[in-house]
Formats: sequence, C-alpha cells, structure tokens
Amino acid sequence: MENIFKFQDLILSAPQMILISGALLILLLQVILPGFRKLLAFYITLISLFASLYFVTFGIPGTAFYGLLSGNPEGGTAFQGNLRLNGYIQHYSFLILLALTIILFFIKRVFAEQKLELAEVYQFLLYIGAGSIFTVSANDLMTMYIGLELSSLPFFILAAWDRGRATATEAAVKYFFLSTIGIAFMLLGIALVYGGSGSTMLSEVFPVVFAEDSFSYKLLAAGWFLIIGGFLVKIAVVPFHGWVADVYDGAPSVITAAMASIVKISAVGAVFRILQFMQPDMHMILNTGIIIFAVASMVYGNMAPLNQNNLKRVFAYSSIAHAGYIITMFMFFPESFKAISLRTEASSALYFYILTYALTTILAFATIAYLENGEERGLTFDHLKGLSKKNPFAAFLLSVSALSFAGIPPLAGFFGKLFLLKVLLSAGYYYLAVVMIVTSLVGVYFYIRIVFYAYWDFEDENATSGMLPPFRGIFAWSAAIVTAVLVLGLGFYSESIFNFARVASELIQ
Amino acid sequence: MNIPEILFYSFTFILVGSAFGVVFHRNPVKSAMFLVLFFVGLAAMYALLGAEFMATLQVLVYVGAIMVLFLFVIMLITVRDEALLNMSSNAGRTVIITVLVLAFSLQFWVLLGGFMKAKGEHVVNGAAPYSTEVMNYTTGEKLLITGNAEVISYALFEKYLLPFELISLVLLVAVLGGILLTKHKRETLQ
Amino acid sequence: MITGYWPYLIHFGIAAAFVAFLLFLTTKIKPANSDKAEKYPDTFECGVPRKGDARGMFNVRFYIVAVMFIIFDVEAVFLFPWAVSFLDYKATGLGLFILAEMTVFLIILFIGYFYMIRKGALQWEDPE
Repeated sequence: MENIFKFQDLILSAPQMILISGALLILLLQVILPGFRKLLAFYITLISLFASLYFVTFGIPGTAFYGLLSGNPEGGTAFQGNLRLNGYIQHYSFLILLALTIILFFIKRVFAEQKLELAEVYQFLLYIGAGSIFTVSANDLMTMYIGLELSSLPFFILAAWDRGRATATEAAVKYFFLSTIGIAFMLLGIALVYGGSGSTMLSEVFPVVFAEDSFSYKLLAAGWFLIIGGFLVKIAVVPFHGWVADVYDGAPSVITAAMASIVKISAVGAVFRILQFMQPDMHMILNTGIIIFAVASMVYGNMAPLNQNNLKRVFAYSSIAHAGYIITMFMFFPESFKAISLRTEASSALYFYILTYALTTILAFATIAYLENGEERGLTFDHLKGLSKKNPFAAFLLSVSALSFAGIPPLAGFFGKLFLLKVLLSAGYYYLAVVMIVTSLVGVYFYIRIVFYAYWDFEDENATSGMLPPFRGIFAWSAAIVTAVLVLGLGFYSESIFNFARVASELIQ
Repeated sequence: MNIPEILFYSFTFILVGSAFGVVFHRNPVKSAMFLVLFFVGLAAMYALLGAEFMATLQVLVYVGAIMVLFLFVIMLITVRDEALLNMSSNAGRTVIITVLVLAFSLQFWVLLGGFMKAKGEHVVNGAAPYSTEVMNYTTGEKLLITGNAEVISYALFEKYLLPFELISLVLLVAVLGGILLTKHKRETLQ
Repeated sequence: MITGYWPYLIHFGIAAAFVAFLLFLTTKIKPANSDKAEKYPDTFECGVPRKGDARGMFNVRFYIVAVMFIIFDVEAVFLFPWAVSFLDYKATGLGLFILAEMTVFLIILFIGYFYMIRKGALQWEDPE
C-alpha cells in the first residue's frame, strides 16, 4: 500500500484537496440540511479558498509542502509521480487561487442582483480551482487531462447559467464543442506520446531518446504537437480563436472574467511545463509554428475590434491579441538556447505578464458585469457616454483596465509587455518585437476610445441608457478596489516580482 | 494473407465506410445508425488486437448508452434532413478545420515516415502488451498478471489512482450540470 | 490470438446468413405488386387518427433521465475491472486498500445521486 498511496500525498496536494473537500461539503450539506442557505455555501467557498491560498503562500510547517515564500524548494512528487510540486507550480497555483477569490467576490454580488445565485455556483468555482491546479501540477498526462476536464466542465455549465437568454445557451454550446474538440485532439496526442515512448509520465517520456527518423520518434513528435495544439485552443490563439468573441459575449460577464483569466493561467502554466519535457530537436519545428500563430494573433486581435461597438467583444478580441503576446514566450527552452538563463527570463516574464493580464481582465469584465442590468446585456460604447458623472467609480475601473491593456506606462500592463519585449530582444527576435510594438500601438486606439467615451462630455448623454446602476456590495467594492490597486501598483514592484518568479523558474520540471 | 488480416481489412472497410456514412448522410438519425455500426466495428478491432475487455466496454458503453443519448438528442431538437446545414455558423469552423488539418497532417507524416519500417515492429516498448508485473505485498515477490481486465485494473487502481478518483468528481460535475441545466423550474432547486 | 474467436465468427456468419435467407424468402413469398403504405394514409376501420410524424419533439424530461443513465453507466464500467480483480488484490494483501479506494469513488458519486433525488430531478414535473 505504501507504494501506491501515502498520507504525505494528501499533504503535497493540500490546496486541491481543500478545495475538493469544500465543494463536497457544500454538496453534502445541501443534501442533508433542509434549510440550506446560499450564504453558508459562500462562506465555505471563501474559507476553502483562503485556506489553500494560505497554504500555497506559507506552506505547511513540518512537512514537505513548501510554500511560495520558502524560497526555491526542490518540492516532490505525490501519488506515484502523478503529481509534481515545486516553486514554479506553487506560483501558478497562487495565481489561480488569487483570481478565483477575486471572482468569487464579484460573483456573489452580480449573481445575487441578477437572481442567478445558487449554492452550486460556488461549488463549481471550487471544482474549477482544483482542476486548474491539477492541470498545472500534473506530472502525468492522464492526470493533466482529467484536471483539464474537471476545470472545463463547470465552465460549460456556468456559461449557460443564465438559461433564459438564448445567447448564453449559444455561448455554452459553442464553448463546449470547440473546447471539447481541443481536448479530444489533446487526448489523441497523449495516445501518440504513449505509443512512441511507452509511458504517459512526463518525467519518463523525457529521457526516451530515438533516432530522428524512427517511427517512435515521429509518433512522439506528433503527439507533443497535438497536445500543445489542444492547449492552444484553450488559450485561443488565432487559428483556434473562432469561439472567443461569441462565447465571451454570450456568457455572463463575471463568468467571462473567470474564463478569460483562469483557463489561460492554467493552460499557460501547463504548456510551459510540457515544453520542458519535449525532445530538444522538436523545438525548432514548434518555434516556427508559434511565430506564425503569434504574429497572426497579434495582428487579428488588434485589428478586429477597431470597428467593434460592443464592449465585451472588444475585450474578447483583445484577449486574442494578448494570447499572441503570451505564446511568444513558448519559444524559449534550455535546449534551443544553450544558456538556461534565457528560459528562466522567459518564464518569469511570462509569469508577470499573465499575472497582470489576469487581474486586468477580471477588472474589465467584472466592471462590465456591474454596468449591465436587467434584460438588456449588450453594453456598447454609447452606453458609456456620461459614465464618469453617473458612476465615477465604474468609469475609473474601466479606464484603469483599458489603459493597463493598452500598456500605458505606470500601469502593470506596460511592465508586462516590457519584460516580454526584453526577452524577445535579448534572444534576437527583432522582427517579432517590432510586430508586437506596432500591433499594440494599433490596439491603443480602441482602449483609449473606451476612456474617451467614459470621460468626455457628450451633448446627448441623457438620451442614452438608463442601464448604469451604482456600484453596490461590500465584497464587490473591496474586490474591485484591491484589483484596481494591484493593477495600478504592481508596475512599481515589477522588478521584485520578476526576480521572485525567476527563483522559481530555475526548476520547472 | 491469413485470416486475421482478412478480418482486419474487412473491418477497416466497414469502419471507413460507416465513418463516411456518419458524415455525409443527410438524415441525422441514419447518421447516428452509421455511428452505431462504426462503434461495433471499433469493438471488433479491439477484439482483433486481443483486447476483449475494451471490446465489451465499447459495445456496452458506446453502443448501449451513448448512442441512446445521441438518438435522444436528435429527437429532442427535431432536426429535419439538412436542417443542420443552416444552423452552423462560421465561428467554430476555422477552429475545427485547423485542428483537423493539424491532426491529419501530423498523422500522415508519422505514417509516411514509419510505414515501411514499422511493419511488424512492436511500437510499444518494454513488456508484452497485455501483461504487467505487480508486487505481492505480503510476500514481496513479483508476479506477472495477464488478462485484460486485470491489467486495466492494475493501471486504474494502482498507477492512476489519482486520475481514477478525479473521474468520480468529473462525473459528479456532469450530474450537477445535467440537473441544473435541464430542470424546468429552477426555483424548486433553492 | 485470433483462434479463440472462431465461435464468434461462426455465430456472426450464421446470423448474417439467416438474415439474408429471410430477406430472400420475403421477396419470394410476398404478392408481386403489394400496395405501398402511402396509399392508405388514414387509419383502417378503427384506431386513433394519426397526428404528424413519429419523430415529434420530445420533452427535455427524457433527456435528464438519459443523461443520468449514462453517467451511472460509466460509473458501472469502472466497477467491472474492480470486481474482476478484487480477489487477486485480496491475495496480494491489498484488499482493504482497494476496497477503500472504490468506496471513496462511490461515496463521491452517491452524494451526487442523493442530490439528484433531493432536488427531484427524476420527478415528472409538469411543464407550466
């Protein structure tokens, strides 16, 4: 039995286990207690999220579970090597949990206002958290796949949560089909990797070396490319982007915030880990593909929203552009560049970027969720007219997120882009850096347009929209303020966060 | 050409033919029926590979359960012939086409490169396919287990313990989702 | 490997031959010019007048039953290899552990099952 399962396995997977037990507790209480309150579910969710956030940050004293602040622990494996724990994974777990906590606060208020609040929503958030952490920390492709399923299934349900609206159902169906196709091809890739190497465990696949023209080598290569392709559907870069606009637009806005942030965090964390296990000579083919996808995403994501009038769609297209920036960092591995330091730089730049991106996205979509009410959901630029007078706080939040997306200097988004550019330039990808700068300059137009509409004095501002309610709810206020402060202030601490992440990036495998 | 090869090629013919039938038939119900044929052919393929357990499960789960749901859904939304053609929008098409092209070109690349050399070569490294070595925990000696269900249960309950338990969570989420999305009156759920 | 499947092949062959034989037989026995069903759209002598197609729209209530069936069917699939090899595990000294493993799996699913009962998901509610 000791070979299969030890008590230590549970400790090493403490964050996930806490989330899962919280979710099961909510479900059990719903079954047992007749007068079960939604508020109790909310507090159970909050406590489990805070508990696992605490453990991820500070570790569990006296055990092998090191926290984020314990330097760069070697970590360990659990469940017979199915699960890996190290500083890099702790960083991404922390990010997932942070994003989930912020979203939980927003969901509480927004869903209560739209009469969509059920205890099950909170439970699904916990499943999403556990599944995402499993995806990032999996050392075995099967565990990674199941974790991905566990984190995507609740999203399909939550996207259709507002069942009365046809667009919500459409969004859920589209998201389900396209995301499932991505996952299915990933599964095919896992099968090919197993066929080529005889194992699904990442650390066992890696040492298997073949001659480059052998059948097994080709199986392995095809498998890796399919797995990465499946993740790229999740990240939504250009050839795989078709679903983004409709899904982000149709789903409830707070759920969109979760979709755009958490799915990307976990997918990026997992892909960057997988890349470390690929055979060295496969990287050259992969890099070509990544450059094409990245350039296409940057161009498309910044051009498509230029004549777009729907705010949620603007942010949806901009998320494609940001996915393009993100995947440029997938090109850096210890083998393709002999110096390991460049990989470390890329990893920490990516971490800082995804941190700022997730926070900004959450802020943008959560603010949109507040500005929508009632039956009418499509928030357009016209609705923003006079926003600074009617609801100055919302106008401020929206402007902060838009300017951070645009990369205006003191905000966090600027430093994120700066780090990416620095890595690209030091690796000699000058043309990619130029494309990135030019396309994001194009993108500045529609971000500035949001700020302009929110703050400019329009003649006809009273003619439009009674659909701007005041910002309400103590939880939402605090979450909004914390997120806005983070987006505003992270830039000033960018260097220390970057260095902090760099310590963890020494050991990714 | 010996008998297994004849069987293999005839089932391949059935598989490819029924797959084309699924895609190109105008009537969705008949497409679903072709899918049943496809699953049965796949079960036969598993049996040819010596994986009887997988073949049984294939018939039990796919033909017995999943196809019932397929037919249900087709009945549920009452799609007439070709009505689906107008329903699909462009949104997902690029994704599906790109992924399909990627997958097929990669597999072609694998096959073209390895087809000649791989003939008769076992791709799976290590032990023979349907046996695995386990430890006897009371005596400490190693023993070889054979047989389909045994090997699968070894993988499920020992090697993939964590994914196995997670599957129950995935199924639980599916139960919740099914109830929450299809129940008529949500107020009764409070 | 293939030799063990001879009975199946023979079974399959006999079944196919029988179907072919029956089809052949019907073409021989039936009257040469039987009328097509389209000639008689209405009920003959007695019965309920028909309303449209057999493939009408189903209520979503059927779907929830079907989905629950599939989910618990998949669960049963995992029980199968467990049941087959449980005695082997018992012999190797892992019996209790494997039992506990399956118990955890089943408990998680049974919470979902009781949730389903509790929320009346299988009750035949009337559409409003």
